[in-house]
Amino acid sequence: MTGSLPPFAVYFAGALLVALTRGTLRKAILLAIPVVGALLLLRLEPGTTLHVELMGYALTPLRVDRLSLLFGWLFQLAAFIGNLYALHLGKDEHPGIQHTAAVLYAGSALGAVFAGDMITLFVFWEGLALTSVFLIWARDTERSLKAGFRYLVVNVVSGVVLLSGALIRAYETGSIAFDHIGLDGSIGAWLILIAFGIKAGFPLLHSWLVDAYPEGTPSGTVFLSAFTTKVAVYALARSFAGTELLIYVGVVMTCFPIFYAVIENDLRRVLSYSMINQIGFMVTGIGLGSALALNGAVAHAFADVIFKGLLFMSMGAVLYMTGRSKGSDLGGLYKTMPFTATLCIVGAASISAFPLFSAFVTKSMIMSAALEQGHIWIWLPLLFASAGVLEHAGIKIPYFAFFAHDSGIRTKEPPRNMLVAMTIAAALCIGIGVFPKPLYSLLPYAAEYWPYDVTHVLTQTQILVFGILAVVVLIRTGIYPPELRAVNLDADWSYRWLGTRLVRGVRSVVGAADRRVRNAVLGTVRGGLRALAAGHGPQGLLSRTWPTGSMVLWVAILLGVSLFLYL
Amino acid sequence: MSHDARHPPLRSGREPEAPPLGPRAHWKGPDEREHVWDRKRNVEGLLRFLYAVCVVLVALDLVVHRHTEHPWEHVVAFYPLYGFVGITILVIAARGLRALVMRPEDYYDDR
Repeated sequence: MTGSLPPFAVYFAGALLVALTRGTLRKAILLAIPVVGALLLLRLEPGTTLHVELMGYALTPLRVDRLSLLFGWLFQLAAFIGNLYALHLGKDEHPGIQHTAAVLYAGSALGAVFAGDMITLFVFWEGLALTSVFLIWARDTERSLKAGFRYLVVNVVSGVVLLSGALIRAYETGSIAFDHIGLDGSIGAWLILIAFGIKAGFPLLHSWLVDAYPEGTPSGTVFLSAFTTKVAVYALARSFAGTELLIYVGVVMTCFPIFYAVIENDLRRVLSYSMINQIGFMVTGIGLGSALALNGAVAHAFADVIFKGLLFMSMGAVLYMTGRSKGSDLGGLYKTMPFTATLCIVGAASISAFPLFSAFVTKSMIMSAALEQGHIWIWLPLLFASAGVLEHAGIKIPYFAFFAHDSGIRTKEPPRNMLVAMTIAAALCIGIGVFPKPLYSLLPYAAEYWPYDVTHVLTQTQILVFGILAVVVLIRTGIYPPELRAVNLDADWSYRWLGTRLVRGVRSVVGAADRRVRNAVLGTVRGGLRALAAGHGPQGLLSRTWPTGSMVLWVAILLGVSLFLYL
Repeated sequence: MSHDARHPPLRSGREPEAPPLGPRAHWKGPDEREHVWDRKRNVEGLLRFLYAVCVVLVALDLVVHRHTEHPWEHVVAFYPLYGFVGITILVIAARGLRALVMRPEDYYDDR
């Protein structure tokens, strides 16, 4: 089909309307954009492409297949829920900036997943960074301003690395297609993998995420959690499926953040660590590379956007209503926010993969694929990480916010639009968990899988319930670490502490050397000047002023001498 | 807030304080009704239910014939043990991690 409109066009045009309108009209447009986007998506058939000639390059701004369509649907859904959740934004929350940035951000994500070439991908890749940073800055605190700058630098660098890799590959292979790449030893492929890895939160490249996401606005972080990292997962699935290295990278990603999540106090930062853990499952699935594993990876991305969005929405509601988001400052909120607490628990059960909730039907595909391919030493840590999810996201988040020690804080349920958005997300979590067929039918690869059999339900319930038992025992015996107001050092220490000190150190060393050199040069110059001054200075022989009378005398003498010689 | 004896207050330039309550929240009044989890009996009841579920789940392991892909899965109560031990190790290791990485809340500020 020719003349198809790329999905991002609806969002970019819509963002203009959102920026120009106010009040009810703007709210209507915000909700209409994803609906119009979804209607257009219905008309896109797999196999559709759109080519554009630009500056001698054949660009492909639209490439439709089952993989890009799945993420297309996911992002329309995420944009609708996010816009609904943010609908109430008041005058003091920069509504114009936040709404416009969010729509442009969602549009960039759609642009990236439907991109058919690396140049188009690069443009939207940078678009993701440049638009989303406003969702952090709109928090309007000094902390968010600084975190936003760090976020922007890391994400823009990711784009620059992507472009470098793409150009090297274009030079080597003559192609700018955004297709399977794989690690073939070319530096271009490595650079592209690193660029994807930065946005996906690979170990040691991850700390921009846990640094910046918790500093976003209550609604802004909901958008942040949906798009950037999932675009990266899509890109990895597209270009690096079956790359063995990703299995190990993914396993590390599932395991190391859960330790941080146990001791982290800011509950939205706990969720950020949890995101890396969940993306780890997807990256492992992509590395495994079988049809079942890849289906599991993208299905889990789909489920994750919804349940992680729900958890971020519930913590956003708590932050919006109380002004606080730390476990040490909260507790007992179920008394005044029972509905929010219930929705949060649905999200918690979903991420923990309880039977009948969404992650149960998606994550299990990756686990089964690992066992099927004989990776017992991959499967065991994945199982450990699954139990860890239950601890930090399944129990800790709802427990410390809504139950635990009563903080004495009383408030009420958040605005209705927030509640409706959370209810839709919760309904989807349960809907996908109970009726996985519709989601399975959207999956891009051919693989038969059915999660509900006696063994799987029983074993999963056993591991989760005994995990809960362990937490109960640890809390009752006082072994469970209390929530403390503190920061925990992570990889960002390297640039936030070490980096600033290195710069400061270099500056002081270079400064001292510079001072010495300048002093030495100045000394020489001064010496020269002094020598000059000795001759030409005010007291110097050559610049002394002589009385006019003596001059006349000397002239008279000269004249007298010459007269005497002539005569 | 009360600090655990094993975790003395962190040394810091200023004593960490909770941020002020937002405009949409207030502190609890003097004569508030008792809520459901304020009653010790309810909490104990919930926990007893949890213990009962645990017993049933292990009992099921003996009755149900699980199909397994790997010999270790065949060990009786493999999954319950893995869940319990896994989380215990996770939490205790995380406490150790605290000793290594925990710093005052204003560690990165104004420095």
